[in-house]
Amino acid sequence: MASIIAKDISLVYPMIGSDTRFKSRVRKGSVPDGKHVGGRIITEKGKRPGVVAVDNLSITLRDGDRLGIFGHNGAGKSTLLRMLGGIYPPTSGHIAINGKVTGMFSLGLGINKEASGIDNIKLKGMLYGLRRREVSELIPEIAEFSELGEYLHMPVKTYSAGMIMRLLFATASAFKPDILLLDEWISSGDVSFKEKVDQRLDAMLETTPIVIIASHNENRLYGWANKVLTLRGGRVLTEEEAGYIPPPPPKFQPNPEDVQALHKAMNFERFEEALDISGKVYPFEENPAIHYSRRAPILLRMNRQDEAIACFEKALEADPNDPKIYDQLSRVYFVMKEFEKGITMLEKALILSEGTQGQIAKLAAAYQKAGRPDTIDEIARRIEQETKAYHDALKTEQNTVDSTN
Amino acid sequence: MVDVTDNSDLPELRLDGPIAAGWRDLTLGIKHWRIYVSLAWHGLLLRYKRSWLSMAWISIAFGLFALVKIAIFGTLTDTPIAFFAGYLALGYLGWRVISNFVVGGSNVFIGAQNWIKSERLPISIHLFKLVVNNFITMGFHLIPAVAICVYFGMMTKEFFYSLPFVVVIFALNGIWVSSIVGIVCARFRDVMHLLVTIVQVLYFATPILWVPSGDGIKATVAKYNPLTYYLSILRDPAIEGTIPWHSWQLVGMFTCAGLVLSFFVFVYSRKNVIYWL
Repeated sequence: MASIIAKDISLVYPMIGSDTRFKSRVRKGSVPDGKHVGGRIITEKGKRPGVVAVDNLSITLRDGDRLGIFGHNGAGKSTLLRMLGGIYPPTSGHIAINGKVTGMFSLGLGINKEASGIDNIKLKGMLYGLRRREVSELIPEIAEFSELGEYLHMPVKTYSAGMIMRLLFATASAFKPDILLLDEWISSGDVSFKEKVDQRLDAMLETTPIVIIASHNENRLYGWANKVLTLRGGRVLTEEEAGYIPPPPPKFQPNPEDVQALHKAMNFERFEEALDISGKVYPFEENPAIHYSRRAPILLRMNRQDEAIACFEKALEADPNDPKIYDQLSRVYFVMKEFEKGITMLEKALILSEGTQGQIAKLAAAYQKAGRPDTIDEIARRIEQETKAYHDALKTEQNTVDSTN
Repeated sequence: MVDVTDNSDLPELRLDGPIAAGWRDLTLGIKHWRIYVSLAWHGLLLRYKRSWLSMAWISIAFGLFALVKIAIFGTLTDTPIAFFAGYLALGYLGWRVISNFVVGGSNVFIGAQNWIKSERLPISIHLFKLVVNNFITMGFHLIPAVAICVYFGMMTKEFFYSLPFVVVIFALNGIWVSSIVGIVCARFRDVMHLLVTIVQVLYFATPILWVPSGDGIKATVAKYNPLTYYLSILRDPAIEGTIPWHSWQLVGMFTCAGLVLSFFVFVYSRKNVIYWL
């Protein structure tokens, strides 16, 4: 059984050597005091200078625990993660770690950039305590998951940051550790890999006894963990049961091959075919709004504007709160030089979502073309007011629902 | 919710003293031979990356250096050139091992901080890595050194009999030297720069380029320089044909004293090393 017991652990990063000169600068108070990131800096006379990264923290983790560590920059997340992984010994207090640990901390660490991907996998495996043969057996799996292909035979220095992350994640997760430690950078991969990572993490949650993740994405953590520690300045601000709320049911996922076929048909301007595929990939029964909103752009490419507009309108009937559809429709109207209609649609889109500067500018341009005198500031202010009104209305609606409950 | 009061189902919190923990670090470290051998090999490959001759350069550089020195300093000495050639080649061989341990030792933890900060491993692994690294290098140095000795007729079978013991003694000394130097240099960065100068001075204060004789100042320097005896256990069997028992005794004493000293330095500062990097 894997476990981590930490009792009253603290970690003070000492400032030594010529670094101690920073102490006197800090003490002079040349920088205005205020809200701070980072742990307390020890500047008192007679005390050794240092930075308190983790301050007197106790925690016990056993099989099945998924700990989320939340906090701002410098709150002590990464340091605590490394302490729980047995890399940094506490400067006071005690910690006992039972079980094999793998972790992914930062991209630069624990990798030999001159060696090939394969060599790094072998090295990592060895560091983890596997035999050469055991590592070799894992390589096909790691290669497949990381999708690095022939790059696995190239030196890691030729990899991009995302590719290094793929390599590290694929490797660390293939080892089936007792304790898995993840620092948040894991979420920096591209979308398709992120999905794979999430899937594998879900699978690993089932099989890995203890998982610890440090992140500043609170929502993600609460969906993930059964315990969430919130740190500030190395101290525990709150400890909460997160109850491992299962993630929301997955949205309708189209088959990637079909999506590719659709893109291909569009690229080769086989629009009839594209319409067919689109109908299949985004079926009406699954989500009518998406069904129509995907169909409409194809009709546009075929110069069937009226049908496209009808299609968008049907999509809005199905989902009247999707700003993207309003935005798309506004563009169609602008192209058709129907500025008034376009303005109405774009304003809707802006009220429903936080509009970008570019969208506001576009709106102002449309006003001008429609011959209306409003300036860009006036428009922006009005949109802001209407957005606020919309949200207030939404809130009161919710409150009435709550109170009736 | 984070409840530390009831841990009855978990193994007890083990509170090792620094000596027990340090000893475990060493024994665990030595068991992970795959790791340090592999790290050492990759480290060497890295140094010679993209060169066609790769590690052969270790042998070539040593051979060229030794030959040039024999040519220059051989003319400045009264000793017969054959004797001087063997003397210098083997002396330089031993010196390179020693200086590699001192200079490499100063960087043994600093250079490995990448690994120390990301993997849960005993830090003694990096000491053993340095040992392996230096003996691979010594193996490459041995080829030109022995070739020079054989060419000048200064080779005996006693040299090869005693070589394994010399290697073991050098390895043990390498461990204690590099652990002390590595820890001190991690904490006090100025020492690292000072050491480079000290090693350069020591090179001239050690009988490598010169042969001590009589009662002159050279003989006194050689007598009080412990490194003389380390070189003698390696060199004498080949050039004198005898085993220098007196040197072995002294070296044995230095080794024991150094190992004991370094053990305490290691166990009491081991935990802090990571914060000094």
